[in-house]
Amino acid sequence: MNAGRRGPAAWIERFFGPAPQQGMVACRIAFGALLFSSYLWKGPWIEVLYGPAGMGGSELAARLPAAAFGRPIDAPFRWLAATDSLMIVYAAWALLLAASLCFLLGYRTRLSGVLMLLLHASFVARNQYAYFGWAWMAKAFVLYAVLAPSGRWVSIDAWRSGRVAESWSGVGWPVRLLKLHVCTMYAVAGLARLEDSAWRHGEMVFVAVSDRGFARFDIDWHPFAAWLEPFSYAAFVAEPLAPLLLWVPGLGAVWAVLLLLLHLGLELLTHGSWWQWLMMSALLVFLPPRWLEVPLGAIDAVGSRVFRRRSESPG
Amino acid sequence: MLIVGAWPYHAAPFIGAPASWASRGLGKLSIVPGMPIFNAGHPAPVEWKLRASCQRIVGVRANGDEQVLYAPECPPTGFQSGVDSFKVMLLRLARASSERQLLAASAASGASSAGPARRSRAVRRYTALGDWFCRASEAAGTRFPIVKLTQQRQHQSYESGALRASPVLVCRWQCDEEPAPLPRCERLPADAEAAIVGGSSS
Repeated sequence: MNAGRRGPAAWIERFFGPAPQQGMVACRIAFGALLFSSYLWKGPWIEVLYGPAGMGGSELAARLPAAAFGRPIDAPFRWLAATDSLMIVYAAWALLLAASLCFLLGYRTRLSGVLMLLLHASFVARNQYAYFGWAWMAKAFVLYAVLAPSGRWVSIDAWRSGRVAESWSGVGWPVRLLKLHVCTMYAVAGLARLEDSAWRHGEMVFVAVSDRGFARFDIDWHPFAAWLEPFSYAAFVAEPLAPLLLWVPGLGAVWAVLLLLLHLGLELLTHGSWWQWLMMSALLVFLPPRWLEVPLGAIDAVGSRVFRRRSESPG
Repeated sequence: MLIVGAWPYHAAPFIGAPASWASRGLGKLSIVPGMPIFNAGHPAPVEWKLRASCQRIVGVRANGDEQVLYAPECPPTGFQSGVDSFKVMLLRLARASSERQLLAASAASGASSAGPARRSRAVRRYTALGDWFCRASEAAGTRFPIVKLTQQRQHQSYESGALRASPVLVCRWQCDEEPAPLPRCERLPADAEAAIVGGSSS
Protein backbone atom coordinates (compact mmCIF):
# COMPACT_ATOMS: atom_id res chain seq x y z
CA MET A 1 0.00 0.00 0.00
CA ASN A 2 1.33 3.44 -0.90
CA ALA A 3 1.60 5.32 2.40
CA GLY A 4 1.87 8.64 0.62
CA ARG A 5 -1.52 8.51 -1.09
CA ARG A 6 -4.41 10.50 0.35
CA GLY A 7 -8.07 11.09 -0.41
CA PRO A 8 -10.50 8.75 -2.16
CA ALA A 9 -7.77 6.66 -3.78
CA ALA A 10 -6.29 5.91 -0.37
CA TRP A 11 -9.72 5.09 1.07
CA ILE A 12 -10.40 2.65 -1.77
CA GLU A 13 -6.99 1.06 -1.38
CA ARG A 14 -7.54 0.77 2.34
CA PHE A 15 -11.02 -0.69 1.89
CA PHE A 16 -9.74 -3.47 -0.37
CA GLY A 17 -6.57 -4.04 1.63
CA PRO A 18 -5.97 -6.98 3.98
CA ALA A 19 -7.69 -7.23 7.36
CA PRO A 20 -7.58 -9.62 10.36
CA GLN A 21 -10.03 -12.47 9.83
CA GLN A 22 -10.67 -13.67 13.40
CA GLY A 23 -14.00 -11.85 13.48
CA MET A 24 -15.11 -13.27 10.17
CA VAL A 25 -14.16 -16.81 11.21
CA ALA A 26 -16.21 -16.36 14.37
CA CYS A 27 -19.07 -15.00 12.24
CA ARG A 28 -18.84 -18.02 9.94
CA ILE A 29 -19.27 -20.38 12.89
CA ALA A 30 -22.05 -18.26 14.40
CA PHE A 31 -24.02 -17.78 11.16
CA GLY A 32 -23.77 -21.48 10.33
CA ALA A 33 -25.03 -22.37 13.80
CA LEU A 34 -27.84 -19.81 13.52
CA LEU A 35 -29.20 -21.10 10.23
CA PHE A 36 -28.79 -24.72 11.27
CA SER A 37 -30.69 -24.12 14.51
CA SER A 38 -33.44 -22.03 12.98
CA TYR A 39 -34.22 -24.55 10.25
CA LEU A 40 -33.99 -27.48 12.63
CA TRP A 41 -36.57 -25.66 14.81
CA LYS A 42 -38.87 -25.52 11.77
CA GLY A 43 -38.61 -29.28 11.25
CA PRO A 44 -42.09 -30.24 12.51
CA TRP A 45 -43.70 -27.60 10.27
CA ILE A 46 -41.96 -28.10 6.92
CA GLU A 47 -45.04 -29.43 5.17
CA VAL A 48 -47.32 -26.65 6.42
CA LEU A 49 -44.86 -23.81 5.90
CA TYR A 50 -43.26 -24.81 2.61
CA GLY A 51 -45.11 -27.76 1.07
CA PRO A 52 -47.19 -27.60 -2.12
CA ALA A 53 -50.31 -28.09 0.00
CA GLY A 54 -48.98 -25.78 2.70
CA MET A 55 -50.14 -22.26 3.29
CA GLY A 56 -49.83 -20.12 0.15
CA GLY A 57 -48.34 -23.04 -1.78
CA SER A 58 -48.41 -24.22 -5.38
CA GLU A 59 -51.75 -26.00 -4.98
CA LEU A 60 -53.39 -22.70 -4.10
CA ALA A 61 -51.38 -20.88 -6.77
CA ALA A 62 -52.77 -23.26 -9.40
CA ARG A 63 -56.30 -22.16 -8.46
CA LEU A 64 -55.67 -18.54 -7.49
CA PRO A 65 -52.17 -17.24 -8.34
CA ALA A 66 -52.76 -13.91 -6.59
CA ALA A 67 -53.18 -15.59 -3.21
CA ALA A 68 -49.89 -17.47 -3.30
CA PHE A 69 -47.20 -16.24 -0.94
CA GLY A 70 -44.23 -14.51 -2.44
CA ARG A 71 -42.92 -11.10 -3.30
CA PRO A 72 -41.86 -10.06 -6.81
CA ILE A 73 -38.42 -9.20 -5.45
CA ASP A 74 -37.84 -12.84 -4.55
CA ALA A 75 -38.72 -14.07 -8.04
CA PRO A 76 -35.30 -15.63 -8.82
CA PHE A 77 -35.65 -17.85 -5.74
CA ARG A 78 -39.27 -18.94 -6.08
CA TRP A 79 -38.59 -22.41 -7.47
CA LEU A 80 -39.72 -24.00 -4.19
CA ALA A 81 -43.05 -22.24 -4.54
CA ALA A 82 -43.52 -23.75 -8.00
CA THR A 83 -42.80 -27.38 -7.14
CA ASP A 84 -45.60 -29.89 -6.68
CA SER A 85 -43.38 -32.37 -4.86
CA LEU A 86 -43.23 -32.47 -1.08
CA MET A 87 -40.18 -34.74 -1.34
CA ILE A 88 -38.26 -32.00 -3.13
CA VAL A 89 -39.13 -29.60 -0.32
CA TYR A 90 -37.91 -32.04 2.32
CA ALA A 91 -34.78 -32.77 0.31
CA ALA A 92 -34.03 -29.05 0.05
CA TRP A 93 -34.52 -28.68 3.80
CA ALA A 94 -32.20 -31.58 4.55
CA LEU A 95 -29.62 -30.16 2.14
CA LEU A 96 -29.85 -26.77 3.84
CA LEU A 97 -29.26 -28.36 7.25
CA ALA A 98 -26.27 -30.24 5.90
CA ALA A 99 -24.86 -27.17 4.16
CA SER A 100 -25.20 -24.99 7.26
CA LEU A 101 -23.51 -27.64 9.38
CA CYS A 102 -20.67 -27.88 6.85
CA PHE A 103 -20.35 -24.09 6.78
CA LEU A 104 -20.21 -23.96 10.56
CA LEU A 105 -17.52 -26.63 10.65
CA GLY A 106 -15.66 -25.20 7.68
CA TYR A 107 -16.00 -28.19 5.37
CA ARG A 108 -15.91 -27.21 1.69
CA THR A 109 -16.58 -23.84 3.21
CA ARG A 110 -17.31 -21.68 0.20
CA LEU A 111 -19.42 -24.31 -1.58
CA SER A 112 -21.43 -25.12 1.53
CA GLY A 113 -21.86 -21.41 2.23
CA VAL A 114 -23.18 -20.70 -1.25
CA LEU A 115 -25.54 -23.65 -1.07
CA MET A 116 -26.77 -22.63 2.38
CA LEU A 117 -27.38 -19.07 1.23
CA LEU A 118 -29.24 -20.04 -1.95
CA LEU A 119 -31.45 -22.51 -0.10
CA HIS A 120 -32.19 -20.05 2.70
CA ALA A 121 -33.18 -17.44 0.10
CA SER A 122 -35.40 -20.05 -1.55
CA PHE A 123 -37.23 -20.95 1.65
CA VAL A 124 -37.73 -17.29 2.50
CA ALA A 125 -39.09 -16.67 -1.00
CA ARG A 126 -41.53 -19.57 -0.59
CA ASN A 127 -43.04 -18.32 2.66
CA GLN A 128 -41.90 -14.97 4.00
CA TYR A 129 -44.43 -15.17 6.86
CA ALA A 130 -42.54 -18.00 8.48
CA TYR A 131 -39.85 -15.49 9.46
CA PHE A 132 -39.36 -12.19 11.07
CA GLY A 133 -37.09 -9.63 9.45
CA TRP A 134 -33.89 -11.33 10.56
CA ALA A 135 -34.12 -13.70 7.62
CA TRP A 136 -33.64 -10.83 5.13
CA MET A 137 -30.74 -9.24 7.03
CA ALA A 138 -29.10 -12.66 7.38
CA LYS A 139 -28.82 -13.06 3.60
CA ALA A 140 -26.38 -10.19 3.21
CA PHE A 141 -24.48 -10.93 6.43
CA VAL A 142 -23.97 -14.54 5.42
CA LEU A 143 -22.95 -13.48 1.90
CA TYR A 144 -20.04 -11.49 3.32
CA ALA A 145 -18.92 -14.48 5.40
CA VAL A 146 -19.06 -16.64 2.27
CA LEU A 147 -17.05 -14.14 0.23
CA ALA A 148 -14.39 -13.80 2.94
CA PRO A 149 -11.69 -16.49 3.27
CA SER A 150 -13.40 -17.61 6.48
CA GLY A 151 -12.71 -21.29 5.79
CA ARG A 152 -8.96 -20.85 5.90
CA TRP A 153 -8.80 -21.01 9.70
CA VAL A 154 -10.46 -23.15 12.36
CA SER A 155 -12.05 -25.37 9.78
CA ILE A 156 -12.16 -28.95 8.63
CA ASP A 157 -10.69 -27.73 5.33
CA ALA A 158 -7.63 -26.42 7.15
CA TRP A 159 -7.26 -29.41 9.47
CA ARG A 160 -7.54 -31.93 6.64
CA SER A 161 -4.98 -30.13 4.53
CA GLY A 162 -2.60 -29.98 7.49
CA ARG A 163 -1.53 -26.49 6.52
CA VAL A 164 -1.02 -23.89 9.19
CA ALA A 165 -1.86 -20.32 8.17
CA GLU A 166 1.05 -17.94 8.75
CA SER A 167 -1.18 -15.20 10.06
CA TRP A 168 -4.81 -14.24 10.50
CA SER A 169 -4.64 -11.74 7.67
CA GLY A 170 -6.84 -12.05 4.60
CA VAL A 171 -8.76 -10.01 2.03
CA GLY A 172 -10.43 -7.23 3.94
CA TRP A 173 -13.37 -5.88 1.94
CA PRO A 174 -15.92 -8.52 3.05
CA VAL A 175 -15.04 -7.76 6.68
CA ARG A 176 -15.44 -4.04 6.14
CA LEU A 177 -18.65 -4.53 4.20
CA LEU A 178 -20.12 -6.58 7.04
CA LYS A 179 -19.12 -3.89 9.52
CA LEU A 180 -20.70 -1.22 7.31
CA HIS A 181 -23.89 -3.20 6.98
CA VAL A 182 -24.16 -3.79 10.74
CA CYS A 183 -23.83 -0.03 11.16
CA THR A 184 -26.49 0.79 8.58
CA MET A 185 -28.80 -1.68 10.35
CA TYR A 186 -28.32 0.18 13.62
CA ALA A 187 -28.69 3.50 11.80
CA VAL A 188 -32.03 2.57 10.25
CA ALA A 189 -33.41 1.01 13.43
CA GLY A 190 -31.99 3.67 15.72
CA LEU A 191 -33.06 6.70 13.69
CA ALA A 192 -36.60 5.35 13.26
CA ARG A 193 -36.92 5.26 17.02
CA LEU A 194 -36.30 8.97 17.35
CA GLU A 195 -39.82 9.44 15.98
CA ASP A 196 -41.42 6.76 18.14
CA SER A 197 -43.11 8.10 21.24
CA ALA A 198 -42.82 4.85 23.18
CA TRP A 199 -39.03 4.99 22.76
CA ARG A 200 -38.85 8.67 23.64
CA HIS A 201 -40.84 8.02 26.82
CA GLY A 202 -38.66 5.08 27.84
CA GLU A 203 -41.51 2.58 27.54
CA MET A 204 -40.18 0.13 24.97
CA VAL A 205 -38.60 -2.44 27.26
CA PHE A 206 -41.92 -2.59 29.13
CA VAL A 207 -43.70 -3.03 25.77
CA ALA A 208 -41.34 -5.84 24.79
CA VAL A 209 -41.51 -7.84 28.01
CA SER A 210 -45.28 -7.33 28.34
CA ASP A 211 -46.15 -8.55 24.85
CA ARG A 212 -47.11 -12.15 25.57
CA GLY A 213 -46.57 -13.00 21.95
CA PHE A 214 -42.84 -12.70 22.56
CA ALA A 215 -42.21 -12.45 26.29
CA ARG A 216 -40.74 -15.51 27.93
CA PHE A 217 -41.92 -14.84 31.47
CA ASP A 218 -45.53 -14.56 32.54
CA ILE A 219 -45.05 -11.57 34.81
CA ASP A 220 -47.16 -8.45 35.22
CA TRP A 221 -44.42 -5.90 34.56
CA HIS A 222 -46.58 -2.88 35.25
CA PRO A 223 -45.35 -2.40 38.88
CA PHE A 224 -41.79 -2.41 37.52
CA ALA A 225 -42.40 -0.12 34.53
CA ALA A 226 -40.38 2.74 35.99
CA TRP A 227 -37.43 0.40 36.71
CA LEU A 228 -37.40 -0.66 33.08
CA GLU A 229 -37.12 2.89 31.75
CA PRO A 230 -33.31 3.22 32.17
CA PHE A 231 -32.81 0.10 30.06
CA SER A 232 -35.09 1.49 27.42
CA TYR A 233 -33.17 4.76 27.32
CA ALA A 234 -29.85 2.87 27.23
CA ALA A 235 -30.95 1.07 24.07
CA PHE A 236 -32.40 4.31 22.72
CA VAL A 237 -28.94 5.86 22.94
CA ALA A 238 -26.69 2.88 22.22
CA GLU A 239 -28.11 1.88 18.86
CA PRO A 240 -28.26 5.20 16.98
CA LEU A 241 -24.71 6.02 18.20
CA ALA A 242 -23.38 2.59 17.19
CA PRO A 243 -22.67 3.50 13.51
CA LEU A 244 -20.20 6.14 14.75
CA LEU A 245 -18.77 4.73 17.95
CA LEU A 246 -18.14 1.18 16.76
CA TRP A 247 -15.34 2.57 14.57
CA VAL A 248 -13.54 4.48 17.32
CA PRO A 249 -10.36 2.66 18.42
CA GLY A 250 -10.76 1.34 21.95
CA LEU A 251 -14.27 2.71 22.45
CA GLY A 252 -15.59 0.57 19.57
CA ALA A 253 -14.86 -2.66 21.44
CA VAL A 254 -16.64 -1.34 24.54
CA TRP A 255 -19.64 -0.33 22.45
CA ALA A 256 -19.71 -3.73 20.78
CA VAL A 257 -19.76 -5.41 24.19
CA LEU A 258 -22.52 -3.03 25.32
CA LEU A 259 -24.62 -3.96 22.29
CA LEU A 260 -23.89 -7.66 22.81
CA LEU A 261 -25.19 -7.37 26.37
CA LEU A 262 -28.25 -5.46 25.15
CA HIS A 263 -29.11 -8.20 22.66
CA LEU A 264 -28.38 -10.94 25.17
CA GLY A 265 -30.64 -9.26 27.71
CA LEU A 266 -33.46 -9.05 25.18
CA GLU A 267 -32.99 -12.70 24.24
CA LEU A 268 -33.21 -13.75 27.89
CA LEU A 269 -36.47 -11.86 28.39
CA THR A 270 -38.10 -12.32 25.00
CA HIS A 271 -37.96 -14.76 22.12
CA GLY A 272 -37.87 -12.32 19.19
CA SER A 273 -37.36 -15.04 16.63
CA TRP A 274 -33.62 -15.14 15.80
CA TRP A 275 -32.96 -11.40 15.62
CA GLN A 276 -30.86 -11.15 18.74
CA TRP A 277 -28.72 -14.12 17.74
CA LEU A 278 -28.13 -12.64 14.29
CA MET A 279 -27.02 -9.27 15.66
CA MET A 280 -24.84 -10.86 18.36
CA SER A 281 -23.19 -12.99 15.67
CA ALA A 282 -22.55 -10.02 13.39
CA LEU A 283 -21.15 -7.92 16.26
CA LEU A 284 -18.33 -10.44 16.69
CA VAL A 285 -16.59 -8.75 13.77
CA PHE A 286 -16.19 -5.60 15.87
CA LEU A 287 -14.47 -7.31 18.78
CA PRO A 288 -10.69 -7.01 19.03
CA PRO A 289 -9.16 -9.91 17.07
CA ARG A 290 -6.96 -10.98 19.98
CA TRP A 291 -10.07 -11.55 22.16
CA LEU A 292 -11.38 -14.04 19.61
CA GLU A 293 -8.07 -15.86 19.25
CA VAL A 294 -8.57 -17.54 22.61
CA PRO A 295 -11.80 -19.43 21.85
CA LEU A 296 -10.87 -19.92 18.18
CA GLY A 297 -7.46 -21.19 19.17
CA ALA A 298 -9.01 -23.70 21.56
CA ILE A 299 -11.30 -25.02 18.81
CA ASP A 300 -8.37 -25.10 16.39
CA ALA A 301 -6.24 -27.09 18.83
CA VAL A 302 -8.94 -29.72 19.27
CA GLY A 303 -9.67 -29.94 15.56
CA SER A 304 -6.03 -30.17 14.59
CA ARG A 305 -5.47 -32.95 17.13
CA VAL A 306 -8.47 -34.92 15.90
CA PHE A 307 -7.46 -34.75 12.27
CA ARG A 308 -3.78 -35.39 13.00
CA ARG A 309 -4.80 -38.54 14.90
CA ARG A 310 -6.96 -39.63 12.00
CA SER A 311 -4.13 -39.15 9.53
CA GLU A 312 -1.67 -40.98 11.78
CA SER A 313 -3.91 -43.94 12.69
CA PRO A 314 -3.15 -47.18 10.87
CA GLY A 315 -5.46 -47.98 7.97
CA MET B 1 -25.34 2.19 -1.60
CA LEU B 2 -25.75 0.79 1.91
CA ILE B 3 -24.92 4.12 3.49
CA VAL B 4 -27.11 6.18 1.17
CA GLY B 5 -29.95 3.65 1.33
CA ALA B 6 -29.93 3.73 5.14
CA TRP B 7 -30.63 7.44 5.25
CA PRO B 8 -34.12 8.37 6.53
CA TYR B 9 -35.05 9.91 3.23
CA HIS B 10 -38.39 11.28 4.37
CA ALA B 11 -36.53 13.42 6.91
CA ALA B 12 -34.02 14.90 4.45
CA PRO B 13 -35.56 15.99 1.16
CA PHE B 14 -32.29 16.57 -0.70
CA ILE B 15 -31.05 13.06 -0.13
CA GLY B 16 -34.50 11.52 -0.36
CA ALA B 17 -34.35 10.53 -4.02
CA PRO B 18 -30.82 9.02 -3.94
CA ALA B 19 -31.68 7.19 -0.70
CA SER B 20 -34.81 5.77 -2.29
CA TRP B 21 -32.96 4.72 -5.43
CA ALA B 22 -30.15 3.09 -3.42
CA SER B 23 -32.64 1.27 -1.27
CA ARG B 24 -34.58 0.02 -4.28
CA GLY B 25 -31.40 -0.94 -6.12
CA LEU B 26 -30.23 -3.01 -3.19
CA GLY B 27 -33.71 -4.45 -2.96
CA LYS B 28 -33.27 -5.95 -6.43
CA LEU B 29 -30.50 -8.05 -4.86
CA SER B 30 -32.77 -8.82 -1.90
CA ILE B 31 -30.49 -6.75 0.34
CA VAL B 32 -31.84 -4.26 2.84
CA PRO B 33 -29.62 -1.61 4.46
CA GLY B 34 -31.55 -1.99 7.69
CA MET B 35 -34.97 -2.47 9.22
CA PRO B 36 -36.87 -0.23 11.63
CA ILE B 37 -37.54 -3.15 13.94
CA PHE B 38 -38.83 -3.14 17.45
CA ASN B 39 -40.85 0.03 17.20
CA ALA B 40 -44.20 0.52 18.85
CA GLY B 41 -45.10 2.56 15.78
CA HIS B 42 -47.25 5.10 17.54
CA PRO B 43 -47.06 8.67 16.25
CA ALA B 44 -48.28 10.19 19.53
CA PRO B 45 -48.11 9.15 23.20
CA VAL B 46 -50.36 6.13 23.53
CA GLU B 47 -51.24 4.74 26.90
CA TRP B 48 -52.33 1.28 25.81
CA LYS B 49 -49.61 -1.20 24.89
CA LEU B 50 -50.16 -4.47 23.05
CA ARG B 51 -50.14 -7.42 25.42
CA ALA B 52 -51.41 -10.25 23.28
CA SER B 53 -52.73 -11.03 19.81
CA CYS B 54 -55.27 -13.83 20.06
CA GLN B 55 -56.58 -16.06 17.31
CA ARG B 56 -59.09 -18.89 17.43
CA ILE B 57 -59.97 -20.87 14.33
CA VAL B 58 -62.89 -23.28 14.25
CA GLY B 59 -64.60 -25.41 11.65
CA VAL B 60 -68.36 -24.92 11.55
CA ARG B 61 -70.53 -27.89 10.59
CA ALA B 62 -73.78 -27.65 8.69
CA ASN B 63 -75.75 -27.95 11.94
CA GLY B 64 -73.82 -25.05 13.48
CA ASP B 65 -71.58 -27.13 15.74
CA GLU B 66 -68.02 -25.87 15.98
CA GLN B 67 -64.80 -27.85 16.18
CA VAL B 68 -61.66 -26.11 17.28
CA LEU B 69 -58.93 -26.28 14.66
CA TYR B 70 -56.43 -23.88 16.17
CA ALA B 71 -56.74 -22.04 19.48
CA PRO B 72 -53.58 -21.50 21.49
CA GLU B 73 -53.93 -20.23 25.02
CA CYS B 74 -54.25 -16.48 24.91
CA PRO B 75 -52.61 -14.74 26.51
CA PRO B 76 -50.23 -17.63 27.11
CA THR B 77 -49.47 -18.38 30.75
CA GLY B 78 -46.27 -19.62 32.28
CA PHE B 79 -42.77 -19.63 30.86
CA GLN B 80 -42.43 -19.64 27.07
CA SER B 81 -39.15 -21.02 25.83
CA GLY B 82 -40.00 -20.15 22.25
CA VAL B 83 -42.76 -19.82 19.70
CA ASP B 84 -43.34 -22.60 17.20
CA SER B 85 -43.00 -21.69 13.54
CA PHE B 86 -46.70 -22.19 12.78
CA LYS B 87 -47.64 -19.67 15.43
CA VAL B 88 -44.99 -17.28 14.10
CA MET B 89 -46.58 -17.52 10.68
CA LEU B 90 -50.12 -16.85 11.91
CA LEU B 91 -48.88 -14.01 14.09
CA ARG B 92 -47.05 -12.47 11.14
CA LEU B 93 -50.07 -12.87 8.88
CA ALA B 94 -52.32 -11.17 11.42
CA ARG B 95 -49.95 -8.33 12.24
CA ALA B 96 -49.06 -7.71 8.59
CA SER B 97 -52.70 -7.58 7.49
CA SER B 98 -54.83 -4.52 7.78
CA GLU B 99 -58.17 -5.17 9.47
CA ARG B 100 -59.47 -2.09 7.69
CA GLN B 101 -58.66 -3.67 4.31
CA LEU B 102 -60.35 -6.91 5.32
CA LEU B 103 -63.49 -5.15 6.49
CA ALA B 104 -63.60 -2.90 3.44
CA ALA B 105 -63.18 -5.84 1.10
CA SER B 106 -65.94 -7.75 2.86
CA ALA B 107 -68.28 -4.79 2.65
CA ALA B 108 -67.50 -4.26 -1.03
CA SER B 109 -67.65 -7.85 -2.25
CA GLY B 110 -71.00 -8.90 -0.83
CA ALA B 111 -71.86 -12.17 -2.50
CA SER B 112 -69.46 -11.59 -5.34
CA SER B 113 -66.11 -13.33 -5.33
CA ALA B 114 -64.56 -11.25 -8.09
CA GLY B 115 -63.11 -7.77 -8.44
CA PRO B 116 -61.26 -5.45 -6.09
CA ALA B 117 -61.88 -7.67 -3.04
CA ARG B 118 -59.18 -10.00 -4.26
CA ARG B 119 -56.56 -7.36 -4.83
CA SER B 120 -55.64 -6.08 -1.38
CA ARG B 121 -52.71 -7.83 0.23
CA ALA B 122 -54.63 -8.47 3.43
CA VAL B 123 -57.35 -10.26 1.49
CA ARG B 124 -54.81 -12.34 -0.44
CA ARG B 125 -53.10 -13.39 2.77
CA TYR B 126 -56.32 -14.28 4.53
CA THR B 127 -57.54 -16.16 1.49
CA ALA B 128 -54.46 -18.37 1.79
CA LEU B 129 -55.09 -18.75 5.52
CA GLY B 130 -58.71 -19.80 5.17
CA ASP B 131 -58.01 -22.01 2.17
CA TRP B 132 -55.36 -23.94 4.07
CA PHE B 133 -57.61 -24.62 7.06
CA CYS B 134 -60.44 -25.70 4.76
CA ARG B 135 -58.25 -28.12 2.82
CA ALA B 136 -56.21 -29.36 5.76
CA SER B 137 -59.41 -30.28 7.60
CA GLU B 138 -60.67 -32.08 4.53
CA ALA B 139 -57.38 -33.95 4.19
CA ALA B 140 -57.69 -34.94 7.85
CA GLY B 141 -61.11 -36.45 7.16
CA THR B 142 -63.59 -33.73 8.10
CA ARG B 143 -65.06 -31.36 5.56
CA PHE B 144 -66.43 -28.17 7.00
CA PRO B 145 -68.76 -25.89 5.02
CA ILE B 146 -67.37 -22.89 6.89
CA VAL B 147 -64.15 -22.07 8.70
CA LYS B 148 -64.27 -19.18 11.14
CA LEU B 149 -61.50 -17.07 12.61
CA THR B 150 -61.94 -14.98 15.73
CA GLN B 151 -59.20 -12.45 16.29
CA GLN B 152 -58.73 -10.00 19.12
CA ARG B 153 -55.98 -7.99 20.77
CA GLN B 154 -55.46 -7.35 24.45
CA HIS B 155 -53.82 -4.14 25.60
CA GLN B 156 -52.43 -3.02 28.93
CA SER B 157 -52.33 0.52 30.23
CA TYR B 158 -48.83 1.80 30.88
CA GLU B 159 -50.20 4.19 33.49
CA SER B 160 -52.54 1.98 35.51
CA GLY B 161 -51.82 -1.59 34.43
CA ALA B 162 -55.48 -2.12 33.52
CA LEU B 163 -56.32 -4.52 30.70
CA ARG B 164 -58.53 -3.81 27.72
CA ALA B 165 -59.61 -5.94 24.77
CA SER B 166 -60.03 -4.65 21.24
CA PRO B 167 -63.20 -5.22 19.20
CA VAL B 168 -63.37 -8.75 17.87
CA LEU B 169 -62.66 -9.41 14.22
CA VAL B 170 -64.58 -12.40 12.91
CA CYS B 171 -63.77 -13.77 9.46
CA ARG B 172 -65.57 -16.60 7.74
CA TRP B 173 -64.60 -18.63 4.70
CA GLN B 174 -67.01 -20.71 2.61
CA CYS B 175 -64.84 -23.73 1.96
CA ASP B 176 -66.57 -24.76 -1.25
CA GLU B 177 -66.14 -21.33 -2.87
CA GLU B 178 -64.23 -21.45 -6.14
CA PRO B 179 -61.45 -20.97 -7.00
CA ALA B 180 -60.55 -20.24 -3.35
CA PRO B 181 -62.54 -19.06 -0.31
CA LEU B 182 -62.45 -15.33 0.27
CA PRO B 183 -62.47 -13.99 3.82
CA ARG B 184 -65.66 -12.21 4.82
CA CYS B 185 -65.03 -10.26 7.96
CA GLU B 186 -67.00 -8.20 10.43
CA ARG B 187 -66.17 -6.40 13.60
CA LEU B 188 -68.00 -7.11 16.85
CA PRO B 189 -67.85 -5.35 20.23
CA ALA B 190 -65.07 -6.40 22.59
CA ASP B 191 -67.54 -8.11 24.93
CA ALA B 192 -69.26 -10.07 22.16
CA GLU B 193 -69.94 -13.74 22.75
CA ALA B 194 -67.10 -14.56 20.41
CA ALA B 195 -64.56 -12.75 22.61
CA ILE B 196 -61.55 -14.92 23.24
CA VAL B 197 -59.04 -12.84 25.18
CA GLY B 198 -58.62 -13.95 28.75
CA GLY B 199 -59.95 -17.48 28.35
CA SER B 200 -58.06 -20.68 27.71
CA SER B 201 -58.95 -22.81 24.73
CA SER B 202 -58.33 -26.37 23.71
